[in-house]
Amino acid sequence: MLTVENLHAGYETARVLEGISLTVEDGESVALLGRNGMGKTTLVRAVCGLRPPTVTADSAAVDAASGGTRSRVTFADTDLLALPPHEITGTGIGLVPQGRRVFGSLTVEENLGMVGGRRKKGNGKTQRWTIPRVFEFFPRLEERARAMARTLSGGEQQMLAIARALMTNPELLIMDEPSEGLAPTVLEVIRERLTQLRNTGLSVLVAEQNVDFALAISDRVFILGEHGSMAWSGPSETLHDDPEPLHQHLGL
Amino acid sequence: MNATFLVQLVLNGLSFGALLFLMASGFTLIFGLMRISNLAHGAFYVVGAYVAVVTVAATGNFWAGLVAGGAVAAAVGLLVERGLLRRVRNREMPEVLITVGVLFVLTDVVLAIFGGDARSVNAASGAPSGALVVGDFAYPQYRLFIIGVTVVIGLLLFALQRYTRIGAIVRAGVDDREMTSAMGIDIDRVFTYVFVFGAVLAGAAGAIGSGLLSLTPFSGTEILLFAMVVVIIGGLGSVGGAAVGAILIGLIDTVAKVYVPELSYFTIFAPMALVLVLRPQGLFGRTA
Ligand SMILES: Nc1ncnc2c1ncn2[C@@H]1O[C@H](COP(=O)(O)OP(=O)(O)OP(=O)(O)O)[C@@H](O)[C@H]1O
Ligand SMILES: [Mg+2]
Repeated sequence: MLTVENLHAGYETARVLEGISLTVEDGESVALLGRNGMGKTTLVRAVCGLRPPTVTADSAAVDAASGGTRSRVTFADTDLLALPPHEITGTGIGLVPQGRRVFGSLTVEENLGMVGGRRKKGNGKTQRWTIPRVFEFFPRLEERARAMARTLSGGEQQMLAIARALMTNPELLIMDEPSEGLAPTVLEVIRERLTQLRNTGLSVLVAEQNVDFALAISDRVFILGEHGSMAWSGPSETLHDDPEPLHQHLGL
Repeated sequence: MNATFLVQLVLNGLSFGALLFLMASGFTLIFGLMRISNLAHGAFYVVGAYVAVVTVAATGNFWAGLVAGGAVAAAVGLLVERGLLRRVRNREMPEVLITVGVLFVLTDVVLAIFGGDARSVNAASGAPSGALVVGDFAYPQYRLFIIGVTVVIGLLLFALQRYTRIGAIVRAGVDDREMTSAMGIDIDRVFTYVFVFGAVLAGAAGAIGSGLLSLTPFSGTEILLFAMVVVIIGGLGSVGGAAVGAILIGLIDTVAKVYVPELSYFTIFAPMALVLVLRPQGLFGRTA
């Protein structure tokens, strides 16, 4: 469903991803691990069309160095690198950004009501998300419906960030460090909700530092290593049985 | 000083403040959303004003002048946004230079067509004219009309911002433009709407103001200066702040011009400097 192929992306001052490939299949949940600054957010931003980073899509030098293939990011056969962010959302990708980034001067309800994407259409598979349905899913948000988002606690903001992404009716939910700064009890609620979402057939790509959390909600794992390359990939179960790659690439 | 004079002074201040609000609210929204100090706003005022003067001269109807002024300013705004600004989006220096350039060029075009003599809208049918007389108190109805129209526009703007989805989208854009687009909103399209909307308000301010203040091709630059002071005092990006700032500056400037005319610019820049020192984000601005 999502295919990232030979992705080269970076900033004016730094090359970060140097030929990353990764896939998320229909209905699959994939975790992207990697230490601080390895480029998880860079990958997420490149997929969602947020710039910077600049994706070096057609540089001859890059092509030669990588055996002739260009950076490619496709979702359901649509070339995402050619699209602006709002159209990428329209293809069925919902983003929960690092740091939550809810709209602080909007109420909870307004945060949910402003989204575009497939808000009206639904994703054609699961039941369409509406504000009442989101409130049923996160009752805490209904209690805070009229509160300005900036007054929410970290956990509530994270729920809102997820709820807001759901309102675009995605087929793939991309989350960047959803566990960051959350108390264990809140994290447990989020984990449970994500499991519920996975059971509806929603695909998930989650970038994480919290390995336990990531393994608990994923089928497959990719680990970003040094030099902007993929250090390891495989089923989550493998890592339950033999955590050696975690020691090696995450320094755990 | 008697009470009648005081009331007149306050109403004068409020009617000038009303014009400032029409200018400042669009300016502040455009800044909040796209981080552009849109100096072309002064050009929209002049264009609206001269189109209104010509239209009123031809039709004798104030409302025709107002609509024509607003409409032409909207068209110019659309051209500036789609034709020029969009090409340099997110590059601060070219953006500012383009808006300055538009202000200079349009001011000169107006100067070339109409000359530099001051004009004003002659008593046109449609607009309230003459004086409102209550006992021995007399006051020009046109000034009251300006206050009334601006209050209505201000309330509509407030309702639009607060109670509609497009209003929420604009506020979201002011909060975090990138996330707004990541939530499926075509932020460039939103910006075009806001920019044109701001141009309409500035054009309308010109059309209305041409009946109140003397009009020359440089009036737009002058009122732009006041509007920017208003926006800085109120807080960049805040429409409520623009309202409060406009009333403050309207009153201060009017009173000062009566009592200490030799200090006229000082009396508006001093409060601005004070606000900048004590509260750099403006009275209603948010800290970044
Ligand atoms: N806007 C930017 N300009 C220049 N360099 C950047 C920018 N954003 C990130 N970087 C650099 O790119 C590298 C990858 O950053 P990225 O944010 O993708 O890492 P990450 O894996 O998400 O880290 P974390 O776990 O801390 O969120 C880092 O070295 C970072 O310093
Ligand atoms: Mg990150």
